[in-house]
Amino acid sequence: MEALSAGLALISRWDVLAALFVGSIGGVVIGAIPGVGPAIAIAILLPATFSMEPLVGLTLLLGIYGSALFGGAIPAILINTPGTPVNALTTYDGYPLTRNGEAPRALSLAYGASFCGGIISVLCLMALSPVLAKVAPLFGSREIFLATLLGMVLVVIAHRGHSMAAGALLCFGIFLQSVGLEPVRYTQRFTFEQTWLTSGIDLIVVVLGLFAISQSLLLLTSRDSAKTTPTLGAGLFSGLAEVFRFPKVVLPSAGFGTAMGIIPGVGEFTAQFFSYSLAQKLSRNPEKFGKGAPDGLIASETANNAVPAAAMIPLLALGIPGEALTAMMLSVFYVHNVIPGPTLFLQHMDFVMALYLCLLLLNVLALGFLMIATRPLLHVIRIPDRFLGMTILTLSFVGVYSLRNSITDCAIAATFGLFGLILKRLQLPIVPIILGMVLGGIMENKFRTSLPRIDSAIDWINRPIAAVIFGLIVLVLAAHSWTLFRNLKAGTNS
Amino acid sequence: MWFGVLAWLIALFLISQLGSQTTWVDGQPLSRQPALSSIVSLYGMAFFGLCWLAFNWRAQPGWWRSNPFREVAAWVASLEYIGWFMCYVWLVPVTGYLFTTLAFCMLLAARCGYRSKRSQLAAAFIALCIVLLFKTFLAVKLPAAQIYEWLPAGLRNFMIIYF
Repeated sequence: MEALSAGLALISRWDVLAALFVGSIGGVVIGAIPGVGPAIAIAILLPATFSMEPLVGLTLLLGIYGSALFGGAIPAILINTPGTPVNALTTYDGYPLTRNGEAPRALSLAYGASFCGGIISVLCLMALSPVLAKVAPLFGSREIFLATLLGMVLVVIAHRGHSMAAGALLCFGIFLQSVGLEPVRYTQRFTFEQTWLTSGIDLIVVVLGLFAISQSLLLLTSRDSAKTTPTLGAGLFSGLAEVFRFPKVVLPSAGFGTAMGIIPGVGEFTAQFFSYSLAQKLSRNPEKFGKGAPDGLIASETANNAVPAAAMIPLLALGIPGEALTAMMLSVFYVHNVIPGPTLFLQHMDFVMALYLCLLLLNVLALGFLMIATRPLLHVIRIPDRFLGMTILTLSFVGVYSLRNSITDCAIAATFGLFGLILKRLQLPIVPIILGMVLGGIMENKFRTSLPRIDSAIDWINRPIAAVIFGLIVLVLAAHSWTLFRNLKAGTNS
Repeated sequence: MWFGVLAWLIALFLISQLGSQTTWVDGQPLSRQPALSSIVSLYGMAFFGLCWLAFNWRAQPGWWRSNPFREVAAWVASLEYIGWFMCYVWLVPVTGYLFTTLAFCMLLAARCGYRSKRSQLAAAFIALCIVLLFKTFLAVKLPAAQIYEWLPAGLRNFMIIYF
C-alpha cells in the first residue's frame, strides 16, 4: 500500500500525465492506421525519449504500446484489415458483425473487451507484485542466464511453421550483438578492420531499419488499395455493457493474456488462440464463431489487451524482454542507468507501481477517447498506403539520425530496411533478430558472471529455480521435437 | 528457398572468418574464449539454416527450377526509395531540417503519384508537423544547416534552435 501511494505521487506530475495522455491517444490513432502499428511508432520515438526522465519516456512508450491494440480493432472490424497484426483474429467475428449492419455494436464490444483485458491484467500484476518482489531476488546470474535461454527457446518454437528460420534469425541477432569490442578482454569481433564497426551495431539502428524503414519500403513499392469505411450510426455505447454479460469469456481470456504475457517469447497470438478456442467450447452457439459471434470478438480483444501489462513483468523483474516492444523499452532503462531486474523490485517498488498505475490509466484514457473520437478516426484509416510509406520514411530519418548524427547509422538502417523488406516479402519473422540482439547480450554477460561459481556442468542447475527453468527448457524442447517428428511423419512442413 | 541457400552460404563464409576476425586465447576452454558468442551464434545460424533448407526441400520439390528473379526485382525496386532516403540524410546538414523535409515529402509524394494541389499541401503539412514535433517541441539532436550561416544573426540562432 505504501508503494502504491508512492507510485501515485510519482505519476502526479504534469510531464508524466502529459506523456500518458499523448501516448494513449497517439497509440489509439497509430493502431487505427493499418500498416503502422506500435512497434514502428515506438522505434521512431525511442531516441526522442532518451532526453526525457525514465518515467516520462517509459510512460509515453507504454501509452502507445497499451492503447494501440484498442485502435487496431477499428479497421479490423470495419474494413476487415487489422490495424496491428495482433488484431487479426478480431476480423473473424468483427467484420461479419459489420456486414450484418452491427458495426457500432462490434466496435463497442471490442472497446469494452479491450478495457476489461487491460484492467484485469494490471490489477492481477499489482496483486502479484509483493510475491514478485520476494521471488525476483532469488534469481542470480545463472537463473537469469537460464531464463534468457528459455526465452530464446520459446521465441523459436512460438513461430509455428517457421521455427527453423526463427532459430537461424535469432542466432543472426546474437551474432550482430557480438560484433565489435567484446567486454572482457576488449578484443575485436568481426570488425573487418572497419572503425565504424568497433563500437558494435546499435540496436536502435537495427530496430528502425527492420521495423520502420522496411515497412515504409513495403508500402512505397505497393499499390494503393481502396479503403472504404461504412458510415457509423448511433449505438456506440451499446456493446460496453454487453461485455459484462460474458464473464465466462472475459475472465479466462484476461487470464490467458496475463499468463502468456509473462512468459517471454509467447505473447498475444498464443493468448488469443487459447482464449478463442475456449470461448468457442463454452459458447451456446459455437457454430456462429467466425460469422459474427460476440463472444469470439470479446475473447480475442480481451486476451490481446491483457498482454502488454503482463509483458512488463519479465522486463521489470528479471531484465529480460519477452518480445520486440519490451526489448526496445529496455534501451530506455539502460540509457538512464536504471537497470531492470531483481533490485528494481526491491529498491524502486514505487517506480514499478507508477508504471502499473500508468497502464491502468491508459486504458481509461483510450476508452474515453474512442467513445468520442471513433468517427473522426475513420478518416485516418483511409490514408493511402504509399502516402503512409512516405511519412514513415521521413519519420525514420529523425529516429536514426538524432541518435549520433551519423550518416553511417542511416546507411546501416537503410541496409536493415532492405533486409527487413526481404524478410517481410518472404513472410519470415523479424522479431527473433531483435530478441537475439537483446537476449544475446544479456546471456553472454550472465554466462560470464556465472562462470567463477561453476566447477562442473551440474552446478548450473544445483539451485531450485535454476533446476525448474532447466526442466522447463527440456520439457519445451521435447514437446516441440515430438511435434516436429509427428509433422515429418505426416509429411508436412516444420 | 534461394534466400535460404544464400543465407546459409553467408553463415558458412562467416564461420570461415572466425580465425581471422576473432581472438583465440591459448590455454583457455571454449567457455572462456572471447569469441564464444560469435562461435555459438554462427554455428547456430548454420545448423538452423540447414534444418530449414532440409524441411523446405521436402515441402517444395523442384524449387531450384523456380525463377527467383521476379522476387529479386521487387527487392531492387525498393533501392530507389533507399536512394531517396540517403539523399535526404545527406542534405539535412546542408540545407536544414525544415527545408529538406518539406522538399523531401512533397517530391516523394509527387513521385508516388500524389500530384494534386490537395495532396501536395497534405505532404507539406505532414513535413511541417514532423519538424515542429521533433525539432521544435522535442528538441532532438540534429546538426545546424550550413545554409543558416548566410542568415542574419538573430534569425540564424532562431533557425538553429527550432528548425
